[in-house]
Amino acid sequence: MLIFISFVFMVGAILAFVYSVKSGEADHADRLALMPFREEEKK
Amino acid sequence: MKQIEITYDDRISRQFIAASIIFGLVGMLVGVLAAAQLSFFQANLGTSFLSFGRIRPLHTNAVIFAFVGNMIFAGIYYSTQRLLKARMASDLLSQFHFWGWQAIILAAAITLPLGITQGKEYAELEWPIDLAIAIVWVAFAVNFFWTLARRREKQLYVAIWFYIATILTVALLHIVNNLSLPTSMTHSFPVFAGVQGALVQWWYGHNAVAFFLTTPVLGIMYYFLPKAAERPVYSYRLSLVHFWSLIFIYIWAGPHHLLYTALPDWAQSLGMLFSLMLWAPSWGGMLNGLLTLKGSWGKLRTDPVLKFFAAGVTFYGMATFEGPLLSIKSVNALAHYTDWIIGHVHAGALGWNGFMAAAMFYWMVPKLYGTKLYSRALADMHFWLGTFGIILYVVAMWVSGVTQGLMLKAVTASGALQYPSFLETLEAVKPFYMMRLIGGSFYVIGFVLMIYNLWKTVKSGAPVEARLTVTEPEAVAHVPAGRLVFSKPIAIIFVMLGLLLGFATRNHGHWVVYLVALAITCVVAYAWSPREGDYSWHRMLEGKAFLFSAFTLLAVLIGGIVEFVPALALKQAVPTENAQRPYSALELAGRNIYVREGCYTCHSQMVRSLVGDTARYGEASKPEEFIYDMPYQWGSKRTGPDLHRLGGRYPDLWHYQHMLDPRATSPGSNMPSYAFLKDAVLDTNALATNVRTMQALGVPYPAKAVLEAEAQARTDGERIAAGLKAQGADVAANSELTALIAYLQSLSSKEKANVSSGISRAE
Repeated sequence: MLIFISFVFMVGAILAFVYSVKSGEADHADRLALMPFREEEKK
Repeated sequence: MKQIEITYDDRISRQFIAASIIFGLVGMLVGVLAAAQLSFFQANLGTSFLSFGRIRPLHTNAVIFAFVGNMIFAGIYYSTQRLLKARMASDLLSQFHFWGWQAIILAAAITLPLGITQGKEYAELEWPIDLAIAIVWVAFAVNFFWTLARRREKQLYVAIWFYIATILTVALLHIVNNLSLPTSMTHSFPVFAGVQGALVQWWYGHNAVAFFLTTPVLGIMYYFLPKAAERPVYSYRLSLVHFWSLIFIYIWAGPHHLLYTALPDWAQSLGMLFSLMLWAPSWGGMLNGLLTLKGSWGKLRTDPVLKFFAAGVTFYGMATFEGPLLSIKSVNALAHYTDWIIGHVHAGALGWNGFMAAAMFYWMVPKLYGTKLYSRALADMHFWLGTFGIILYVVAMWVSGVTQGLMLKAVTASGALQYPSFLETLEAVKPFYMMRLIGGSFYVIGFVLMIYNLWKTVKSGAPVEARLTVTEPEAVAHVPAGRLVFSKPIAIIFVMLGLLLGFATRNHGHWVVYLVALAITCVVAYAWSPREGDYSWHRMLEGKAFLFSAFTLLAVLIGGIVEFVPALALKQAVPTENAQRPYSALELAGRNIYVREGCYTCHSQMVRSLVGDTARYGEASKPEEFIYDMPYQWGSKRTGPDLHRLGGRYPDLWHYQHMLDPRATSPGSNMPSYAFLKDAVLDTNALATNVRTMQALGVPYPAKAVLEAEAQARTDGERIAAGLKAQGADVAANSELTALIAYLQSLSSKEKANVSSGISRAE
């Protein structure tokens, strides 16, 4: 049972990884990663 | 395009920072007092209000909900507004959140030393305060999601994902675990008893660590660490995997607090398995944090903010490696109920939470007051004092835990216990209690330096208003929610969960239903799959805040439901022949005193199915022996021995002497004196209400039990008092001490022959 559950999650992780690589969108990742860096003005 | 100027509400962050620092100092000082009490019983100061059993919950509640709570709110308010390009939706709700939370903390600081408690770890606060927490939390949630709805930035940054998970899950945990039936304004009985109570409590307790002490701080890490390092987060993709796997897996791991107990074996194994799996996402997050510093390592020498961040994230990695390790059954058999767990918890609390808080404060306060940090040297000194303090503390607790664990399970060649007296093991670890006290004190000294440094920083500047001019976002193409729900990723998740469910239940009927549902889902998923030119599924989801929140809630609900439903059904399945019998009115009153004094903070009531336990305490505890225990009192730490098989082991006189002066019967004990119980008069008015409430919760008391509660308690009390008087001990029949002795003698005593409870098997 434990081995089976682990196996299912491992397969799930591989599928998630393949899906994530296939979807690409490096520009989106970059834009999102830069979100905290907006300039603001202090008064 | 229309330009809009946003003025952020930073006053609320300033308020939460101040509250976090003040209550943090109080909580830590109470911790130092509790540590001193373990080394010197005299530090209990001979008063009930400051005895260890009441002080320890005050310490844990103060540092978790007051120090870390206020800190995460400060960070959430600051970063949310900036990431969503929107001021908080309602200043009134923000202020209600702040003042409401501080009122709750004050209520906790008053009620816990008074012994007003539910007797469940990290959920001690009584029902009126619980209700207040729910109201304040809902106000916070409304304000947050309202802001989310008014945001000018469509895509949600990873920090916001973690805040969403925090807000939803904490609400869920708090409501379910605090379901109770009040007997008065200051007392209630929880609705879950025994095994169910333990499972629900540790689902809450473990996930309080996960969703109050971890996920919001991870959100803070994802926002403030890149800001401080002036580098974007190392990997967006890793943060995506980190988030979903962490929130899905964390919720299942609660039962690892109950290994080898009366909890069903399947639930224990599930808890262990998911705890082991938790290592991967935890370290994924840690590495994402540390690798964000790539290229900035040189700054660590000079920048105290980065120094604290790097150390905080490293302690997170250490604690999240240790957690899964401790969940392995064979390791847990040694470590559970010992100081190793205390060491583990403090590596997380002092290292992860404390250092992340310090980093955030050192970064934020100069910005919020338009100035520079008063002294980098002082911040450096804080860092090294804190680090030294944590290491001293944690190493002391590791050594103490392993020492005591090994001594408690050691047997001679003939199979007898090598250290039959629990006190021998306590004597062996006393030097480490001193080390812990010193380590904790170093940490507090460092914290005081931070307070001084930040105070001087605040005095050198003035509150500033931060503004941002943004362009009103253009309307973007609407993606129907259905296309994201009926989609390939969801179909894949559905398949995986279905496979698990079908295999776990081994029920052919389930398989058929599942296959039909699977076929329908795949067809719909295919039909609704994203069209040519669409963005990726997750990118589209990041733009849909409420769907994102719904998926987050679903991810945390699955684990809870799978563990709860079978465990709650267990109630009907427990064998009744040898089951626990209801407590008499006096025993129940005594039990309430046991809970009030926080005896569970040092004594367990759970003989695990391990030789070290059964040889020392007797037969392993079974689920049916706790069916009327509301709240369950299994405990999580043994500074004293287990008490589940205590009933009838010693005469009443022994208990009388032990409560008045623990060292008279147990030389070397560090237990506080409970002499004040002798003169405390039992509240006889509450007896009938207690029995009636238990009746309402399903305890099969006969109808006359409520009417006769007071008279029966009097008869029982007189019997115990007369017995003691014959041996030269003078105690009143209606004293709280008498009631406590009645309860202690009832523990695991299936036939309560010595006490006329008015309840017999025939009834």
